[in-house]
Amino acid sequence: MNFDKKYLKKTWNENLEQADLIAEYFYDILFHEFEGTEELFNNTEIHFQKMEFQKAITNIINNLDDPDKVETYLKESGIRHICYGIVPKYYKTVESALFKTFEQVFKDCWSQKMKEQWQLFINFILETMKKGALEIRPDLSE
Amino acid sequence: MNDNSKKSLFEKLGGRETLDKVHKKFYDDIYADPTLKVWFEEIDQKHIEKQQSDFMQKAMGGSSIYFGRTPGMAHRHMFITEEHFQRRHDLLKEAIGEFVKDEQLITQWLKIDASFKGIICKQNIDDCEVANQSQQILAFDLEGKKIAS
Repeated sequence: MNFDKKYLKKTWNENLEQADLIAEYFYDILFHEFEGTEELFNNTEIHFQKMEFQKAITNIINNLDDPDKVETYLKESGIRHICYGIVPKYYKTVESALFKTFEQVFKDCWSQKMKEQWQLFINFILETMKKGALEIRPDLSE
Repeated sequence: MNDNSKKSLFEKLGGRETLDKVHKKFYDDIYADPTLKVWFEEIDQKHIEKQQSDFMQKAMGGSSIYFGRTPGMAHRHMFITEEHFQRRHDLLKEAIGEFVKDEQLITQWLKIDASFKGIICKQNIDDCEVANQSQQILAFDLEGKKIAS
């Protein structure tokens, strides 16, 4: 983890009211700005998906002091996402949508440092998920 | 990248035939297991075998023919504990082991299954959620006795 965990937790906790809306922002941005992504969620109820997403991000941030737990969680998430059809080739799109989401969530305090730190956090999430995904499906390596 | 690393897990395992054989044995054992069979009382075994093979086929890199709900959604009204999950996982391991001899492939298959543990298992019956008014919360103890919700 090459980001400032304390800083991320602090900014998250200082903006909890907004942070609680992260799932709403994420799927709105994903579906409106990235054509075709809504089809990837045809087999799910979006309300349930949003709940899971909110839980996941909160869980990761709350457990940043336990890197093993977070790594296992993210690797498993990478594997599960293969089952939903979200394979590593889509991660660039997810990365952009996540970045725009955090930018929206923290818009009132979106400083250069915030930008850098949350970008590193996003990279960490997706790299770890990818590691998990490639452990079971090395054929998906790009 | 050599030729083998370009092959999907589905291909390496021998395709649909292997999945069907494993899932036949897996559900034969589940439907005979006192802890697990109660969860499947109203589900046709052939249907669930096919659904499981369809789901895993997609996950493993075969053609995408699974159009059912995600496991998290499908199990959200069920009070499945870690012990239930482990029992099921052990039976899956036995079933895979009967038809697949490559340890790495067995591990990869089991990792897919295990990745859903955190999504499916619940700490408390109150964590269950029904999708609509006609759905009921399902809860059984390890002896297969119904738990009142």
